[in-house]
Order: sequence, then C-alpha cells, then structure tokens
Amino acid sequence: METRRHIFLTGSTGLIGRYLLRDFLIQGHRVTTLVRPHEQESSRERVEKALSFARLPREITENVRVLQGQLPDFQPDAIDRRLIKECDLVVHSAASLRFDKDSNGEPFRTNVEGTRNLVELVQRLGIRRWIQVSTAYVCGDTQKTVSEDHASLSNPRNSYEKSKRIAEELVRKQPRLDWTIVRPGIVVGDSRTGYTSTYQGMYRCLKSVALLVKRLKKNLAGTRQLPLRFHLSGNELTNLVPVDWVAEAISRIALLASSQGKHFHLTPRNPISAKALVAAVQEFFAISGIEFVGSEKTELENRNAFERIFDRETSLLGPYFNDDPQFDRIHLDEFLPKLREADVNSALIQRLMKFGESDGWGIRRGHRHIQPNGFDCAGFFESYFPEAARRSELVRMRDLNARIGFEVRGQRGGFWLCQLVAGDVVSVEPTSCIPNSVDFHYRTNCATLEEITSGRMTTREAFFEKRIEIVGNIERALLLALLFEDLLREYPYRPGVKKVASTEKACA
Amino acid sequence: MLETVSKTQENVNIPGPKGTLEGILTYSENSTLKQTILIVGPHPLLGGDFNNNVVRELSQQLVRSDTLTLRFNFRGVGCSEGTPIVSTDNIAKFWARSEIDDEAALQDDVEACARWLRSLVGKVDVVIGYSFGAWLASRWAADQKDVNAMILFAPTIAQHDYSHLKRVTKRKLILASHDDFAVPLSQLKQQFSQWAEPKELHVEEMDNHFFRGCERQISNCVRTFLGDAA
Repeated sequence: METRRHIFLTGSTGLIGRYLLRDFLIQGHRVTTLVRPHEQESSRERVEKALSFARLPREITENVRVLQGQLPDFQPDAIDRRLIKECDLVVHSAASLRFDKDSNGEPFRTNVEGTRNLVELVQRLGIRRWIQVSTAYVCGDTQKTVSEDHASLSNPRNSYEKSKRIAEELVRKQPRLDWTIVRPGIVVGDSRTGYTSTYQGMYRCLKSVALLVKRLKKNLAGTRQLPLRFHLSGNELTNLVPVDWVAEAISRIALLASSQGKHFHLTPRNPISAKALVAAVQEFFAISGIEFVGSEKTELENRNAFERIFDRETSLLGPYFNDDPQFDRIHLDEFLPKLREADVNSALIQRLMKFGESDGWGIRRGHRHIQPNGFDCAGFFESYFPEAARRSELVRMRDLNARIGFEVRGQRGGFWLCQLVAGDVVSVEPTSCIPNSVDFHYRTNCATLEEITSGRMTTREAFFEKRIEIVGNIERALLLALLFEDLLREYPYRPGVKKVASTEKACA
Repeated sequence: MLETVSKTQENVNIPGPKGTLEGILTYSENSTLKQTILIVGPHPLLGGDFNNNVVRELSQQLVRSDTLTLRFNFRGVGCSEGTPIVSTDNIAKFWARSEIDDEAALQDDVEACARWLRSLVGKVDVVIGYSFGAWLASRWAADQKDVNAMILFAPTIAQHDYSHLKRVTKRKLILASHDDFAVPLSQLKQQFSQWAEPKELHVEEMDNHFFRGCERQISNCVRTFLGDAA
C-alpha cells in the first residue's frame, strides 16, 4: 500500500462523500470527518448509517473519527483543532445541492461561506493539501467543448452553479493551499448495485416517471402508454457518471502530489443520449408513449395531466435537458490512464431504476412525526387512510374483498374495522373489539404504527421484528401490507395536514 | 463502530437467465472450506429476499461450520435485474390464487446461481430452501450429482408438488413449526412418510411459517445436521 495518509473529509454522509469515506478506509488511510448531528441521530450515528451500505468490517471502520459540527458555523474546540491538525490532506465534498436560493441563503451559505471558513481554519492549522469537490457545470450555460482549465465562463444557470464557481475561485486564490479541483458531471448511483442515498437532480425525472407509471392502466394490447412529450430531438447528450467511479477517481487524484494546481473533469467518455435514456426507462417499466417532438423553441400547448405533473416535479432541471457541453478530460486521461470507464448505458439506467423502485425513491426514509400527545391513530385510520386508499393502487385490486381489523395498543390506540369491496375502502370505523368475523387483523402498537407511517420502517420489517402480529389469513394480510406500504410511499402521511399529500391525480 | 465479524461477506453479481442476479457470498477466510451451500429464499411476495430473517441467519451462522454460502435475490427482486415481481398486478394474482404467472421459472435462477457457484468452487454440496424456495430447491437438487443433502424449511406441501422426493435418496432434513399455516402437520407427516430415506423431520413450535425469534435455534439444528454430513 501507499503511505498511510490522514484525511480530513467533509460531506461524508452525502452520496459522493460516503463513497470517498469507504474508498479511503479500504485503501488503509485514517479519516477524520466533520458531520452535523440531526435531531434523532448523533454525528457518529449518521456516519455509521451512511457507511452501512459498504458493509465494512470493524477493523476498518475503526479508522474513522467523527467531529460534530456544521459548515459554515463550525467552531472547533481545542480537541477538534488537534485532531484536524493531525490530518495532512483535506477533501472538501460537503455541499448544498439546492439549485435556487432559499431564505437561509443556501446554497451560498454552505458552498461559499462554508468553504471560506474551512479554508481559513485548515491554513491556520498548517495543512496545505486541499481537494475541492466541485461540479463540471461551473462552466455555465454553454454548449461548446469545455476545457478543464477554461478561462472564459458563460453565465451560471442557477444559484448552485454560481456558488460552486465562487467556491472554486476562492480556493484558487489561496497562496498557501496546494489545491486540486475535481469536477464531476451529473452523479448517479453505483455502477454495480444502483445504490444511491439521494434522489435529487436527474433522479427527479426517473422518480416522476416511476410515480406516473403507477397510475397507468393496461390497454387492450396489454401494454401501458405514458403520454409524455419532450421538447428535444432525442440526440441530446447527458454527462451522467456513477458515484463509485467518481469516488474512485477522486480518491486516486487526491493522493497524487503532481495533481496540484490542476482541474479534473470527471465526466463520461461517451455521454448517454436522451433517446437511449428514455428507451431504457421505457423498457424497464414495459411502457411506451414517451416522445421527442423536436427542439424548436415553441411552446407545447395543451400539456396533458401527466406532462403537467412531470413539468412541475422537474421544473428546476429544465436547462439540463438541453444538450450538455462536451467536457475535455485531458488531465484525467493523463494522470489516471488506467482508470476504468464507467459510461452510463441502458443496463446501468435500469439498475438505477431498479434500486430506486426497491428503495421507494427515498420517500420512505422520512423523519419522525413527533406528536406531543402520542400518535393520533384515529386521525390516521379514519381521515387519512380511506382517502389515500381510494387514490392508491388498492383500487386496481378488483378481487379484493375483505373485512380487516386493526388493533393498536398504547396511548391514543384502539380498534378499527375496515371494509374493502372490490378494492375500494367503503368504511373504516372505530370499534370496541375485533370480531371473529374479520378475514384477518393486524395487531401492533402506537410507536410501531408511527414508525411505519413516517416511513422509518416498512410493514415487512415490522412484521419480521415481531412488532406486528397477524391473526387470521396471514398470507393475504402480508400481501395487503405490501399495498399499504405503496400507499404510504405515494401519499406520505402528514399528521395535522387534513388533505392527503400527493401529486396531482393524473388519470381518471 | 460496526458489528464485529470474523466472516467475509461479498456482494456478487451472477449471470442469470433474465439479467444479473445479486447475491451475497459468506465465508470465513481463516478456515478450510468444507462445504458449499446454496440458499433459496421464500416467495418474493411473502418476504422473500436475501435479507429474509431465516436466509440471512443461516448464511451468517453456517460460516462457523467452515462453510461457504451463497444467498441471492430472484430476478426482479432487490437489485437483481428483471421485471419487478412485487407489483400490484402480481399481488392481485397472488391474492386470487396464491401464485403468480410462471413462478416455476424462478427455478432457472436457482440453476444459474448453482452454475456460478460451481464455476467458483467446483461444487454445490448442500441446498437449503425455505417455503416456496424449498419447492424450487428440492426440485432442482433432485438430479444434481454433487448435491449430497437438502434442507427444507416449511416446505409448501399444500401448495406445490413434492412427489419428486419419493425417489431422491440424498440426505434430507425437513423443519417446520407445528402451527404453520402453509404446512398442515398431518399432511406433512403423511407425505414425509412416502419420501425416500435418508430423511429427518424436525417439528416444534417455531413461530408459524416465519421462524421469527427462532433463527438461532434453526441454525443450530442445521449445523448439527451438517456436522453429521461432513
């Protein structure tokens, strides 16, 4: 192995960051990382969770030290400073991914002020080597070939691009920093597993299609049509790159002293076209109907319900649908000539879709709804559930006739009876006990129900952890639980909000 | 920081008939490999993936017996390629008739995993199947020369045909809970009596069809059986 380094890493719970953390640890380096705590989780717990995808043995993960704090406000105490001072390399991958500026000043607050404060801190502590994780899109709105050392830049298309460009300039101006700037393209999930921890950026398109597909019915030929028109020719190229490849490149560039003062585009050699992307998505869902109607700048009138939902969900991504620039990779090819290629192709797109589907597109990783007097089971069963069920996939279950009981123990718990006829919830009523005449009944407690409805646990996980018991027809109860899970994913339960949260109903 | 493990778990991609299947190999690097075991999980609509409590526990506990195990996700499950099995259409079908279209074809996934395992270590010694997986595993293993034993958890005798076991003379261990909704005990005993020797039937209270909380108990039972076989 190369010399063991001690790396100070930011952003280690982000998508790229967790892969960098994994790769540095596997290479045998020590890592100190700065992580902000959440209400429910300490910084260390967040790192453990972020790293869990890698299934690393303990002897490797013991080489991580976690500092608690958040950029740009991080105020290290004496111990923090001593730990950072032991590091000989900073990899700054923490970033806000907001495209539009919010009332807290993001993304500038994290991306610019955070970088500024950290640069000042590490220089005070005598660290010179700095790797800045930026984006290829600091180039702005251009369709020319972009050089890694580009001198002239076009207008940034959003606050995110602008903030990353300012951060780069700030780093380049530091005379006492030996900097390297790496610029990934549009980062997507793992090339081998499809894993991702976030569904921003291009994932908003994939996720929107996935949600719309659920509303489609099969036509007489047994296929499904998703009538979406794109204002593109289909030949537009998109610079998607898998996260594991990006992290591999960064972790290797970071350790090359000769990469100092250089910029690296981490972009694909062969970008995927819009046509290939859409073909992969259509194949995955076994649908047709998505069309490219040309790139003329005329307004498409009479947008249908599907298109309106898609447009709304992806409105901030508009500029990225147009032809991406070509990014040169001269430095990348020179410094890492043996780096594997990881072009995003049809198979990988389908792998990403597959993972997204199995992960519920991140919707189920919600936060706990804390209700001061305990979970409002009556509100859930009597208000939210019937309405959400009628708008969900349940209505497609024409053979679904059942009488179901829910028994929830704990404060604000109780008994409810639900009657389903041809997939329709015809009634949900409180009762004093569960009668023997039900087809099956679920028995659980308020805490478990709260965890399930907030998306922090699936019904299946709850069942296998014995936090749900089933009385009656177990097989059917397990099947229905899968549909309940879909329902919660598509229409997240928001306690205190009377209307079911959902996207617009697209098909009548 | 994370669980201490002496075992190695390796994510693997296996070429399957409908695309790549994801699997997990579990083994100990510090021991002499005695046996290779393929584990086939239950129906995907009823908790069948490679993280199922029984599948995962067996995989992890059997490492102590100097064993290499492969567990996998069927096509369309988890990150395995293929049309997703857990879909509203399939749930509706399963609701109506307790099966989905062409589910017997999932045996091809078992075959693909076995082929891959053989290319890696040269043989498959034992196959373990759970529930629907017991049906697939036993049908597949019946004519495999290298497989010397099959272990079947909660075999779905009320739903599927296990008559092939009448002629299979490989060692067999059958485990079931006496209150299993999918494995009527009297029917199991009746069928078991017709299956070829050598065979063992282990029935006790083990949480219906799911073995929740009994995972260690069943893995000990399997290890004892395999110890005999080794």
